[in-house]
Amino acid sequence: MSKPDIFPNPLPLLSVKNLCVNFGSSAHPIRAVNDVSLSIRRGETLALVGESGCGKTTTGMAVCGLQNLTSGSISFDGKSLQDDASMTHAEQFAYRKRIQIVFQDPNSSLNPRMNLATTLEQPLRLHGATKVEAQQRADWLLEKVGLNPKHKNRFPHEFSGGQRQRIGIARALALEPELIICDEAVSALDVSVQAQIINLLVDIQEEFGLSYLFISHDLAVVEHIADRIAVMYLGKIVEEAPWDKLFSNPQHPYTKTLLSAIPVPDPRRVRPDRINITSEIPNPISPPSGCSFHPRCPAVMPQCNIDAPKLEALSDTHFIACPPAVKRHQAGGEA
Amino acid sequence: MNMHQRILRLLRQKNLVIGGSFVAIIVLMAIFAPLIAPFDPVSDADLMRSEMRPDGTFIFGTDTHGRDVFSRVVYGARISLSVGLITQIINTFIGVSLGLLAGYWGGKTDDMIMGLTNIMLSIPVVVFALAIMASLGPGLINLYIALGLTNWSYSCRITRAQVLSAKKADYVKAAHSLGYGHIRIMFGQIMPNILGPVLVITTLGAAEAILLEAALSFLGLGAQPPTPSWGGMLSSARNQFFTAPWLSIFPGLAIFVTVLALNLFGDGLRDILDPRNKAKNVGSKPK
Amino acid sequence: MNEIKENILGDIEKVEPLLKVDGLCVSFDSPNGPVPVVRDVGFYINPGEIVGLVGESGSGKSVTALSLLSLIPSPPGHITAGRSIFEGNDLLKMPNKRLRKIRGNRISMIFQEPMTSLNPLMSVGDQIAEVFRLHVGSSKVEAKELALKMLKKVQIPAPEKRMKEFPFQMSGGMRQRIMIAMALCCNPTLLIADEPTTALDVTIQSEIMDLIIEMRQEFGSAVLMITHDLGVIAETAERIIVMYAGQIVETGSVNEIFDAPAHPYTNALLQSLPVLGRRARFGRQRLQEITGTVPDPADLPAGCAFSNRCPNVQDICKDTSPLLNETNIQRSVRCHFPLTLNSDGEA
Repeated sequence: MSKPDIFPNPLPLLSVKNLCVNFGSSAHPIRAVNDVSLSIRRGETLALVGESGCGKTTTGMAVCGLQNLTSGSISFDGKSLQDDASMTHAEQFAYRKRIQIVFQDPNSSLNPRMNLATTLEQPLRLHGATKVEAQQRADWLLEKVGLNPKHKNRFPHEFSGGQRQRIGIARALALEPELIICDEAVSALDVSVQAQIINLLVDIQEEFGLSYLFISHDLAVVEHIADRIAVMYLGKIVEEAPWDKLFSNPQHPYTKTLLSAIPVPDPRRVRPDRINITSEIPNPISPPSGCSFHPRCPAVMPQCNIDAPKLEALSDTHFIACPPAVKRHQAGGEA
Repeated sequence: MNMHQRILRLLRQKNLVIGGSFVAIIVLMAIFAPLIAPFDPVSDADLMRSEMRPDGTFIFGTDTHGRDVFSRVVYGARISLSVGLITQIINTFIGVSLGLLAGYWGGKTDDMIMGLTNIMLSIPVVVFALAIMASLGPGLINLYIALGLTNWSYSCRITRAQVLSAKKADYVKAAHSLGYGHIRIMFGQIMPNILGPVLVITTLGAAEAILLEAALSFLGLGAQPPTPSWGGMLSSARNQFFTAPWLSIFPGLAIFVTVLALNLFGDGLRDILDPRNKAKNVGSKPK
Repeated sequence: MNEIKENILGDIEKVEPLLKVDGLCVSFDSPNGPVPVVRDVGFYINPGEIVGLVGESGSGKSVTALSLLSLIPSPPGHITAGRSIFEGNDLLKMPNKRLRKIRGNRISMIFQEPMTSLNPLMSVGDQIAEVFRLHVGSSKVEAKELALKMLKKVQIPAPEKRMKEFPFQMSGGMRQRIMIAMALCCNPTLLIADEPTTALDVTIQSEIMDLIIEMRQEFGSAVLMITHDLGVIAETAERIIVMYAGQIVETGSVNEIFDAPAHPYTNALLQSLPVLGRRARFGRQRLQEITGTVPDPADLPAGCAFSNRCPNVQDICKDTSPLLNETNIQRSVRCHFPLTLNSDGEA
């Protein structure tokens, strides 16, 4: 690992080291996540951005234990979450509930055959609450996310998309988690409802001191909500920086391309010259040699197809995986 | 949607309403057989009135032993429905359990169960049931067992397919991260979502079982005389088909109506339970 | 691109519209009777211009577009009223046979998910060639050559090789290019694009948007761009039609709509969007929310459809539906109390 531990003290809440997740046969694996390391401090929002198939969702699933790791380690609050002898089953169970998830599609994230009361009270009961406690907490949760507790006996199909997303958030909050993984949590919502949910996420973060792993492809939303941003491309993190640095001073050619491509709802804006990348996203079954972005890179150098670049530090918070850009930066050409 | 609208919507399903009413009539007939039947189906035999044509007293006529055919048809509903019900309870239990296991665990479990299912599907049900009956001997209980063990492959396949799609749903993932165990997820989260299609298959399967019972009883392997069973009645009426056709026509008609009603009911259930039929969402994008 | 924008806007009064839709009403059958999904929609498209039709899901924007070509599934959909005059003929009264000659020929459509719109069992080359044989009547060899030419026009790398490939072998962006190539085969005068970039990644989306703009320049087709993405609209369209709950609530040039939205809905929508660069300039501000949700078309509020979510709602809004007031040919708003309406347009 070329990346130094950027938060030596206090310990980060979540720390993912050299995470690899392969799909398919072991002979011809698809490296969905390839040597990803990241950390999230308490109360912090780390956004994971990238295009479809870049491995951002798989990373999120691995963090909340819904995806088996091929290699690497995930530790939460100082303890490893893998099946090793250091933790009993009961301890793992207790740890798991501290990481919850909010999904993209409000239609499939709620069990259509369960009413609100069951959806929210059952997990509480499972974790030891009495019936009355569970009911009270469910009412409280519903009020927190802006729903009427009187509607507790309704079923998911009786709610609109935005309301269902609120229910999903209430369910994630039920067990008092410390980290919530938001997997494209606002992407499927109507434009006029999106702002409500984004505001809700910000509000509950402040109130409960939550940390977010915010997975999204929408950079405008990410800019609004994130503290730090990691950009993924074909299973690897190519750039990681605090939000302001990433948007004002992106270093990796892929980040630059991505930023130039976002349509902005302002017809008078003089659009920065769009960086055109002609070829398609490569097939992850046979990723390009060397830097996987080199076939599409507008600033490709001869050596780019040989060595796979590693994340290098530009400053103590800004990392990129692009040796030519690092050189340019060190020469003081940019930034 | 309130209760009133819900009932109105159900009533618009012609299949469901027609099939359901007939099924209800037959069920009531079976339950209240002693009140409906004017004679005892077995003991009221009188050889003096053997094979009488239908008239005012014996509206379906009498059989060779002078028993009232109407009373026997009414009591026969008990046998047929019990066959439909009991065999389907056994079938559904086997099919759903295996389907849940196969769909949820996948891998080798899935391969094994699906292999078994495919073997079951490749053997004609009648032949299989005949083989079981031959080894167990004739009789109603053995018939339940034979039909109960042979016809679960459809509910197994349907269950597995439903589980496969349900287990990918986000709410199942959410349940995992909330600390739910596998059993709780299987029965609490997935099971309620697959009951609809399974119910449809069960209803259609009941119709098939009733037909099979009739066929096996016709071959003398089902309920033994003098128990009034529709298939058995058909079987004993074989030789009198031309001299006393009412002996075959009425039990035959009873089988026909019951099977048709169950099939209509099953189709109707499918129409209302299939979520795609609810998807007449206004404003949704037509494809 | 800006030059073209100015030219077209300058000439706007003189041109005969290519398509003029009037009083279009569409309803869908539901268990509880017909539900109006598109209500009295009227607009025009001039030759060669890009018009954006914006709305959220359920606003009726896609149904409107499909109705123009009688493509809504019937049942449950019914066009209950309206005219759609295209090059002098009413498309809605046209017999199916004549309509088929116009579809894919004079008017073409591209959809959100190109996979479902392409034949999975036919190579893309053959599929494009078929369009030429069907509508132009080219010979087999000719059609193949023309198809290859089209693939080159939509900038598909290695077109000779791609000709023989099947849709499943291609990425989403590539398939959308194929769809555009097919749509442009017969040099249509109107291209209807229904969420053409929504299913695509950002980098691919920008390429497809550029391609549509370029193709408009090359083929001179007018484009009706249907989307929920205000960013896409801002970067492509010249004129905008905003729909809400089956009605047009506001129309205007792209600058008018974004600079000075007159309808509270348009305004709230623009305010609620997180916009790139805003946080860097002003710090993190709370996003302006629009309370509530899009109304169910079967259960619309009495009066103005937006009245139950509108921040400026007055008593009259709750019982009287506002009319679409036109200030000039391209600017109109459906509101009792419009926010700002500059008759000269440019704010």
